[in-house]
Amino acid sequence: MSSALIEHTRSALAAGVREARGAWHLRATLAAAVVAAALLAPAVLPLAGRMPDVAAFVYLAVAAVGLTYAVGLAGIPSLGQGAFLGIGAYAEAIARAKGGWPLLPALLLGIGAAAAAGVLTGLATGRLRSAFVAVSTWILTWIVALTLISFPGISGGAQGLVLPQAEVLGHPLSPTAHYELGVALLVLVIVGYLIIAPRAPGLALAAARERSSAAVGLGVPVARFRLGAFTASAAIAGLAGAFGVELAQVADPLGYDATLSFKLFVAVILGGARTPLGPVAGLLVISAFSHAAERLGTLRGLPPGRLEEMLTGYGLLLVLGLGGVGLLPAARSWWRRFQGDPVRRQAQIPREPLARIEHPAPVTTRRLSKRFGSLVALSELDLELSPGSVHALIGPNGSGKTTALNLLVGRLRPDQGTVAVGGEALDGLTTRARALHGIVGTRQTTEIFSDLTVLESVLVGAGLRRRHSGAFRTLFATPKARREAAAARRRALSALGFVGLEGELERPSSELSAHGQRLLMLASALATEPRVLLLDEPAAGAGTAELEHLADLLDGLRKRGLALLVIEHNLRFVRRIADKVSVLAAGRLIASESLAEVASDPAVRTAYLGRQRL
Amino acid sequence: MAAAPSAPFSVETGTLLGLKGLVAAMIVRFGSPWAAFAAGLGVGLAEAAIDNLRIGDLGLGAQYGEILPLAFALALIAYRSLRAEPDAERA
Repeated sequence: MSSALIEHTRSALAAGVREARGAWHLRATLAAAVVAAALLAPAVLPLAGRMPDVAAFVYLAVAAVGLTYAVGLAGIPSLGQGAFLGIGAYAEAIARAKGGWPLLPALLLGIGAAAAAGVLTGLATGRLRSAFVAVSTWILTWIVALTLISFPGISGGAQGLVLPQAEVLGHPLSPTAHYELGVALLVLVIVGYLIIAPRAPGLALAAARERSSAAVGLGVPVARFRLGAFTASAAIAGLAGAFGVELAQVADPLGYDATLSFKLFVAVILGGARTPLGPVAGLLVISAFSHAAERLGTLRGLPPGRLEEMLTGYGLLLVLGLGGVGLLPAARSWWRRFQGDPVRRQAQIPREPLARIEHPAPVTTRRLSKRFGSLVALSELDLELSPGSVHALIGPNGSGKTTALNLLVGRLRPDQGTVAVGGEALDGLTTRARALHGIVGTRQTTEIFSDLTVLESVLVGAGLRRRHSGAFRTLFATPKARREAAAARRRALSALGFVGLEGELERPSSELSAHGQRLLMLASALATEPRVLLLDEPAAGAGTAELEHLADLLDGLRKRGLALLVIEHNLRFVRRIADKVSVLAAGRLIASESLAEVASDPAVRTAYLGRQRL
Repeated sequence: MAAAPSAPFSVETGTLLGLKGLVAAMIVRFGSPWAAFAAGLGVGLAEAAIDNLRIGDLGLGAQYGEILPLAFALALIAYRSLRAEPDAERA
């Protein structure tokens, strides 16, 4: 190894340690103390007789926290976590009990089997709406449960599959060792969530969870990220299942029935889906329900466990009735109200001005057409958008303006015609691919990510050109990922500074005014570094001063070499900003000239302007 | 009420029965109630056929009766999902 490489590694490690020291705060100290206390608990507390139950609880908590990767991060309502846990457990059990595999390969098989099932399920349900995903994963849960019950050849029947005692370095894995291992895994899974959630993959998932169409418009690979989150969730369940079955030393087919998936889902919703500690709190509450049910059952002479599901169901209904945020987020919100609003820290990073476009390129459309059934939405549209100019697209409602924009950004597929940037045809490319070519559009309706702050919202757009922002690189904070994150942050700050929102970085985006939210959409689009920006009614609802501000911004973008297409009904605004105007009527282009020429065109007067003055 | 006399019933029976109803409704994309009713009959008939039908020595057996219709429904949902326009990517 060369001395330069050693020196580079040493300085990177030193920088990492400095950063970790800088980021260390009271909450981290408290968290470390709680983990240390949990690890020392078996030595201090009289848990010996209950250690198998406690260790099993911890493994179940690992699976529940894993479920938050799907439910909380990605917004996928999975009711199949118990099935993935069962798949992991049985893959492990079959390999160990029937195949005689050693512990580690069997564990890897268990995790791999659950992850593979997660990939298949994620691919199969990736394009479904939430309700269908919930039902599909619930069906999967039942298929796994029924398979285990119906095929004793696989599951071992009523006796289950008995595993040999697991050993590590010649020492048997005792329940206490399982507990310590479980706590370590739980901490890792929680820390993984805490690292990913506020960084590029987490922000992209949060954006997709809330406004999938807006996230797609900013080039977020929604399907890929969602599949990744779902697979991670399934793999973590497989991990918990594989270790859990080693702890029990028997794989019982009745242990992975549909109730388990229901219980894990309720734990997540009960405790709070968007905080990794939520499921742990939820499971604790469900355990309390279980004890209460046992007591009640004994009093009423009912079999044990009969009332547990009922109480769990009531718990779920209670949380949903209270708004569905979960116990921990509700407690945090109450604590903040009690303490008052926290002081928002403002980022102190020097802002660079928004850069000029390095490679400006014209956009041309040729004979672009789209029909919806018998309705001709757009017919043979020829347009040319030049760098450093504002092209206004006007026309009556239903004339095909938004359809044209959707065809340009790839939200719709044309029936005929082509779109090209700088002579390069974009036919068949997705919205993300077009965004990477520099074509980005904003929608007519205000689409913000209200769960995110202003800065986080713009970071979603700034993530488009990152190549090293995957979950693993983010998790391990590789030098490339860190450099890219810093560059994305600079881009986001430049875009926010350009639109005048640099003072609102930490404010929740939902708290901005309507005009502020439109500016935020513009900043998010600018953070993708577009060459061509398509704006659908950016001035909708704006007052006089806001219109003037917006016009100044568009002037600024024109000077930086962007090609701008603006769909607008406000003719005074069009007159203020447009270099060229195209007019659509009933899907056909009836004029595409300078402002003065369009204003005096009799066809335009007849079809659109009437007595209005352009 | 219709199903209770036909088999042993427990608290959990309703969950699976409800799931089968949901599957039937999903097969017809939550369309008309009559279509869902017909799909439900279809699911029941398929279950009974898988349980009892034998061609010569060949027969699937009762253990497949409940699993295969659910697996078919899951495969159908997956097929529709994969064929659908990727709304999330193009919306």
